Amino acid sequence: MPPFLIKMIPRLCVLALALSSAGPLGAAELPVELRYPMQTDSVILTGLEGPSLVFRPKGTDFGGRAYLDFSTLEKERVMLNFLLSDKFYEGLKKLKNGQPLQALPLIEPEARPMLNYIELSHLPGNYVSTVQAYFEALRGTGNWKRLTTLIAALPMREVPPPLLDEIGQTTLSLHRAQAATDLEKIHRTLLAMDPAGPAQLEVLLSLGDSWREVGEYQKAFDLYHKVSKEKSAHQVVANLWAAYCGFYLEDSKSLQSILQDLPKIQINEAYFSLRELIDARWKLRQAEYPPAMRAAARGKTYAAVTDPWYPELLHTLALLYEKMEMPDAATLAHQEVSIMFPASQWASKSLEIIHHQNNKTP
Amino acid sequence: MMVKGQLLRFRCAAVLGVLILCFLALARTLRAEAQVENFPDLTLQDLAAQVDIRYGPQPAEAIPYMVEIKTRLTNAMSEEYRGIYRENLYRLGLAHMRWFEQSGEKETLLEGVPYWEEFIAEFLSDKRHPLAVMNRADSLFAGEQWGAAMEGYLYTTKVYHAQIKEDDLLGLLQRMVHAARESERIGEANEPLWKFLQGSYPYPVRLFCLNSLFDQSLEADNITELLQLVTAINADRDFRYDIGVNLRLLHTGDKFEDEERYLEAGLLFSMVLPVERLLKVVEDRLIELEEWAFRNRSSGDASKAQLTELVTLREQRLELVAAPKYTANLRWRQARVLELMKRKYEAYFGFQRLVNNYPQHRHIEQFRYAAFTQGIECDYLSEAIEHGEYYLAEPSYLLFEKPVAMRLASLFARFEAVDKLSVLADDFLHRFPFEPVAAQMSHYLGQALLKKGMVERIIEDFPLWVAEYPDGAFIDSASYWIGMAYLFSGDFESALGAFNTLLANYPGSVYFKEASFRRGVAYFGLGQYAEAREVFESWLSDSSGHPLVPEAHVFLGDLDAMDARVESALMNYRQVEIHGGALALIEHAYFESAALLLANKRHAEHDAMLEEFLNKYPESASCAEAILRMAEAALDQGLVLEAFARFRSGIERFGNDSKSDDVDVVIDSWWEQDSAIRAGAAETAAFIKAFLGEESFRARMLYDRIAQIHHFQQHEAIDSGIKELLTVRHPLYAELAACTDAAVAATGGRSLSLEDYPALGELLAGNQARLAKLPPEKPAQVFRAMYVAAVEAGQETLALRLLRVLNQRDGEAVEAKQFTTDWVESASPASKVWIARLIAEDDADRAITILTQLITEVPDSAAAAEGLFLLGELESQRNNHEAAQAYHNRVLEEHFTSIYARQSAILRGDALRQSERLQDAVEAYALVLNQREWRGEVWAEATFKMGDCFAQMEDLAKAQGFYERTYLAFSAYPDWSGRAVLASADLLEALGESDSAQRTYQYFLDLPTSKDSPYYDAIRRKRLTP
Repeated sequence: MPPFLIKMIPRLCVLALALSSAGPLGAAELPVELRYPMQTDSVILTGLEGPSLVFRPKGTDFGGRAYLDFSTLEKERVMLNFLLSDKFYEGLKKLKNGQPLQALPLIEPEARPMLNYIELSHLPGNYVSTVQAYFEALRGTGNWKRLTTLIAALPMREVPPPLLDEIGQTTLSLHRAQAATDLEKIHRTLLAMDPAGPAQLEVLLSLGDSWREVGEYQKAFDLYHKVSKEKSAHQVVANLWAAYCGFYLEDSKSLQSILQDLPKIQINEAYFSLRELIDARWKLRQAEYPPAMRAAARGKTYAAVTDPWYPELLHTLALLYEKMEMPDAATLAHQEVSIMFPASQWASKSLEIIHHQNNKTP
Repeated sequence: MMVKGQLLRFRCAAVLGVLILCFLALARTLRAEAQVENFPDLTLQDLAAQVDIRYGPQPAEAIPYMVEIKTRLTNAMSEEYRGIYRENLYRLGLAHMRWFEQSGEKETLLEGVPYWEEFIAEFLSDKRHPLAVMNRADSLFAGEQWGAAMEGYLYTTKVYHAQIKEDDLLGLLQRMVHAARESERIGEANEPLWKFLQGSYPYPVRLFCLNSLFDQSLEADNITELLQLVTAINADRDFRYDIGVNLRLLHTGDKFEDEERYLEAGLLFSMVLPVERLLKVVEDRLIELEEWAFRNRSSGDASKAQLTELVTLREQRLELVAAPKYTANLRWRQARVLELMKRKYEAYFGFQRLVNNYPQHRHIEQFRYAAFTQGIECDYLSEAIEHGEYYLAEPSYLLFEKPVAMRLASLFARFEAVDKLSVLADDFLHRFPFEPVAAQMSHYLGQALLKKGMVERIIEDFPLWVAEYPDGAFIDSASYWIGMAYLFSGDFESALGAFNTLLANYPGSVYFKEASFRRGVAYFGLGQYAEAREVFESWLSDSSGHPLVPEAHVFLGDLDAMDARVESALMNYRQVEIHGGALALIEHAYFESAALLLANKRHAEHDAMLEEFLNKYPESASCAEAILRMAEAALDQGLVLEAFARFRSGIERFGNDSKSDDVDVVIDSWWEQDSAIRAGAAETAAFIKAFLGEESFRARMLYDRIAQIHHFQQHEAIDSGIKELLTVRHPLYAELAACTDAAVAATGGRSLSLEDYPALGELLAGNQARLAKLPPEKPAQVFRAMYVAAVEAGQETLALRLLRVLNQRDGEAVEAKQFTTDWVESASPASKVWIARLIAEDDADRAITILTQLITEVPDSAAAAEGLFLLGELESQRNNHEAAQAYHNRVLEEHFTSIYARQSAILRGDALRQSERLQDAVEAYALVLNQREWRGEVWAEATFKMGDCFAQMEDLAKAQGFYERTYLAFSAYPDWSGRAVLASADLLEALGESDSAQRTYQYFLDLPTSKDSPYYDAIRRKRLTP
């Protein structure tokens, strides 16, 4: 028996130790380092079997394997570092220097095989940063097809939040690159993730925010809607934003049903003013101006100027003052939006209205 | 003048003297080439040595030696000497600055400026060039050469902004701004200030720039720039969370508010963050950093930046804790400015937030009052009422007590909340009886009570107040409403007395005119028409423009009409509209005018009058009535075709307007008139045929008066002209009698010819002529076609009206489920009641909802009476007897003349019985017996049921009395008399008076109508088997 394995038996709660004549366990063999609080071992990772990682000693493979349970590794606070070559680190440097084309061939050979071990991304170590760098390099070089294929092949429920975030960033890059088909593929993959954990839901929510901010309301809606269906701390806010995005979509009936299910939010709770804005917009659409005004005015009162929906609330109020035939109040509210938030789309809309009014005045 | 220490920074000074010495030590051969001017005995090295000795302690004394060195090296060409020259030159500038430091004489600095200028011009590539540029500017600054200093600073910030050390930058900018102000070129400083506002510069520098720019824009009243700054603040997290910036915005907002520049004030206020929020941000970050520091206390790898941040945050926290707590004031200002900007809805919620969030604030009373008044502004009246009630309930709130009470009273009056208004008014009048506003309070209450018909309360309460405060400010108001209460309760004598007293005692009262007018009304009510006319005419002569002028003309029109002064009446009615009377008065005037014209057979004018009304008031609910009247007038004239054209026009024109039930009446009239004409023609023809053809029938009609009456009762459609022809006094009667044998056999006898009796022929022809003028289709066909057209045109109201009449009169099948909510919403009141009846069987809840909505929306309509009645029935079926009696009571109180009233009176009694309120039930039945016009079977029922009530109350004597009264007085109604007999006999039997019971049975059995009773057999059995 090789000395390494002898050393491992008492220390690491090996589940099974066998001399196996079987070949590799389906994945590439990768040299790794298991860093315990008081000791570090270098071994070869040969694959995964059920809840266990399978290792062999470095050097010639005599078939001996050690099986280490995930939970044990987590309990022992083991850090799993993949041993990467100097070339990889050179690639990393180039990536940082803005040379993704030069970086990719150096990073890819080492990072790509690691994707077979996505389950290991949950252990502390360099897995996530390595794969992140790989994705970044692919994004930087515009290798959308490869990137899409890689992502689509990942078991999404296993993808840890940082990588999920990376994937989300990839979709935004695909949007900027107008790679609609690839984007749609990844977007669908994200939506199909089932079940999603709380941290993953948080990432999806944040991605929804990004889509909303760039005006891609359908995508934002899809993500918010997905998050809103799962029980989590983000359910209420996802519901609210889904309703918000619903205003930009054609399907008025769906919007109505979402609005009916919207939770009540107390005045001093977070998102109260967003809830009021949504109510105000719906009632404005239904031409129910007094109740719309009530919602908008109350929402604005309890909103902070720093809330992202504050400019829209102000603009909505201005519209409602107009509808309720209070032109002076409307103009003042429009001016307030345009002065305080000159870069927002609501300021442009308000300015357009002010312009139009000025041109109408004889 | 800036502090000297701030200005004079001797950059690299310490090393310069040594440098020059070193250079000169290496350049011994210079003497021959030098241009000696002073100190001829001294070599360059000696000069340098002298400089070195004096430069530190006495810079002024070093300067001549340095100047000499400069002179001697002026034309030196070698690299080496140029280097020495450069160092000496730089040092000369510095020496002047040091000299200034010692002497404080600004001239010394200015003397040094040429050296700085030469250095700046000659040695552009020297690394101290930026320092020289700054030193020159500083020297000019200290020398109070503001313009030149300004130029210097501008140059520095433009060329060397990246090279200036952070520590120097702030001071430089401060001096630049000072110089700019002194040289009155403050605008020129803006460009660099904006530049250093950017996030890449140190925060103190940016803050200084922000404040300077803020000052300038305020001083110059440059709103554009100020608003740009506002945007910059809004976009910058550091600024937004800076307590100083927030306070500044707050104070600037105040300034703008004082200047009535509300947009600017509002903008600034809206940007100010509450101090609690600033504190929260700081504390959140503090907690985060402290946790981090705690976790890493052993590793010691805390970065310097993080530790610095920690210290800064702790300082900020202390600052914020010590800062004034301005949040409530801020919220107040925000709301107030919004109010001033007429952004009333935002203002309301702003005030409401203050009320909710700062209940202990020292200005809470003001917050509450503002929320109250703003709530009224926004028409958020229920919330306003809550605020107002809260205010008045709080004993410590006194500042706005009177205005709150008055406005609250007006709201209570508006919502007819008379109970609350009464309490409020009572309290107010006792607290402020002598305040002028007390009269207004009394007015609100009087008006509200009168509107609700609660005149008894006025008559009871108001005189008590008058007695309590005979000198109160509200006495004239109270007197007026006492008079009005008497007027509306029909006590015209007392009303007249009240008004007369008011006029005598308060000639200056605001009620003087009204009271004068109401005297006329009182006279009118008393039937003293001459006095009434005198009052109205006199009143009109000096009341031009008064709102009661139209009403005065209505009264005069009515008085004229009573006196048959048709033209005068028409003129007065015309004045009602001319003087802008309310629609109800105008309607009265038009319809009374039309009635007068019709009575005088002025048919064309009658129609023109009503046509005018239709054209002028097409939205009035009375339009259909106008149509109906015109149609009836046409029918009276025999203009059948025209009448039905009127019906059709009315239905088509107003049928889809759901406000009035008159169109339903028009539709029903059409049907009834059509049927009546058809039936009249047919039955009249049949009668004449039988009458002339069968002598036996003719004999019965001529000689048997009872048979005649019975026949006409059974054939109501027969032309009433026939009855007139058959009266004994009519000449035709004698003619017919001559040809009719009273004893003729039941069949056979003589036939007569119609040609011999032209009166009968004319009557027959008249009926046939009317029949011929009817629309060719029967009503069912016409309305079915109109229904289809209405459905296609989306005229839902009309379609439902037509469906109702088809269902009720022609058996058109309808299903309850076809009445969707939208349909019901668009139905006329009458249609709604019909729908409710239809669906009540399957869905009583929905029927109740529809009816409840109906009686709320149109409580005065004819349909409301039926709606209330039906509600009473439905509630009874659900055993909600209290609710049922309340609905029936409303029928009696609000629709006493409706056809449902008498039945409601009985059902109310029944419901009260079911609720075991037996005494109330007795009173309810007694109401029936008090209505003489209801005499008939309903009296029998009421009497019997009163007996039942007493029996239940075990007052058997009374019960027996009512039972006896029932079967004795109402034997014509064998149902009730039979029941009464059984009940009475039961009581007698229970008392062991079997003989009396048997006599009672026998009494009933002897009645001629007894066999018609459903109880006949039961009574007969009891009589047979005692």
